[in-house]
Amino acid sequence: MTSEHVTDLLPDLAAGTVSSAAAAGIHAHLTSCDDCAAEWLLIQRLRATAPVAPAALADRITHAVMNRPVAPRSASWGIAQLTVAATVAIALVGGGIAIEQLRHDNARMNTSLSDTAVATGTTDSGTAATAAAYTPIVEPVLGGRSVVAELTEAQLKALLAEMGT
Amino acid sequence: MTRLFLQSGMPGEPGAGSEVDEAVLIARARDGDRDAQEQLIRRYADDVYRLTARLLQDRDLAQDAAQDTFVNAIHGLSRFRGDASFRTWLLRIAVNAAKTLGRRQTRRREISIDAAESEPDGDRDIAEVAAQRTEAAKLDALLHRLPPKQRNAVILRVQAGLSYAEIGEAIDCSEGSARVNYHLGIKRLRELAGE
Repeated sequence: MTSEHVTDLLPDLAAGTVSSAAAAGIHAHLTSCDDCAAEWLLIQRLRATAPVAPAALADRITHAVMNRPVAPRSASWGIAQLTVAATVAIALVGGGIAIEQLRHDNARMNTSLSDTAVATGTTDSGTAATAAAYTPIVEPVLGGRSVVAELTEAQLKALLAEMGT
Repeated sequence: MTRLFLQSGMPGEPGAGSEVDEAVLIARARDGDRDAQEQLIRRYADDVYRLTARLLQDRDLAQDAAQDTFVNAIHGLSRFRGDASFRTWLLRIAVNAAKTLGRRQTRRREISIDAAESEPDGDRDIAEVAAQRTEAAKLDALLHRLPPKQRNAVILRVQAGLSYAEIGEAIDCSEGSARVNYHLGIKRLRELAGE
């Protein structure tokens, strides 16, 4: 055994975790190596003077662990879930209100544009174009439908005819 | 109370209780079994205290650190993945608890950690106890003249009996670094001790 190998194992020897064969080899080395023997002595001194825990320490720790207030995991998750649910609900309701408001504004603007065109009797292309920009939402021919695929064939023909005019 | 096993060695020493028993104990403790939690505490309390006491050199702080260690460990068992042994994991928490409390330490007591607490053993001569306390105080003072990494490596290797790999896990360094710090520390300690 080399000194390097022995010094690596000295703490294990002190803890009694080396095999009997290894221990015999280490002890044989220690008898002939003053340097390793001095290190072995120091290690033994360190272990011999290890602090001793107070007798009541385990009781004290047990009491502290058992009496530590801990929020139940399910309760924590419940709060988190409620927070997420509330956020989603607010987003859905708020989004719905905003969409409804937009639809309402578009309808009102469309009606206003139609009234203006009728009142002036003009076919101004700018006005028509502006009005057309809102027709997907409120279009008389569509009857409130916003998807062309929902139209009957007759409604579709009527729509094409109106677009042609 | 039902005990799952009988300890086969000194508390904290490698080999105290089988790994299978300990795995069962940890699983039960993780599920909130108070008896299992208490058994883990009683198995490792001395081991954790010896470490925190050597690191902090203050018996009151060492007890606080040991308590913090178990409170954090038992209530954080869900974080124990079993990559390291439970003991290594626990000692790692103890090192961190000692660091945290050490920062708050306003004064250092250059006395033997157990001197004021332990009653002299009836079978031991008072002079012998006093001599050991003096020796412990001297060694503690020398240990605290080492750089922290070397001191931690020496304490974890000699006193806790951790392998270099386990020391690396406990103090967040490589196995090679743990080995180097240990050997540098023990060499420096010998120089300081005049050996």
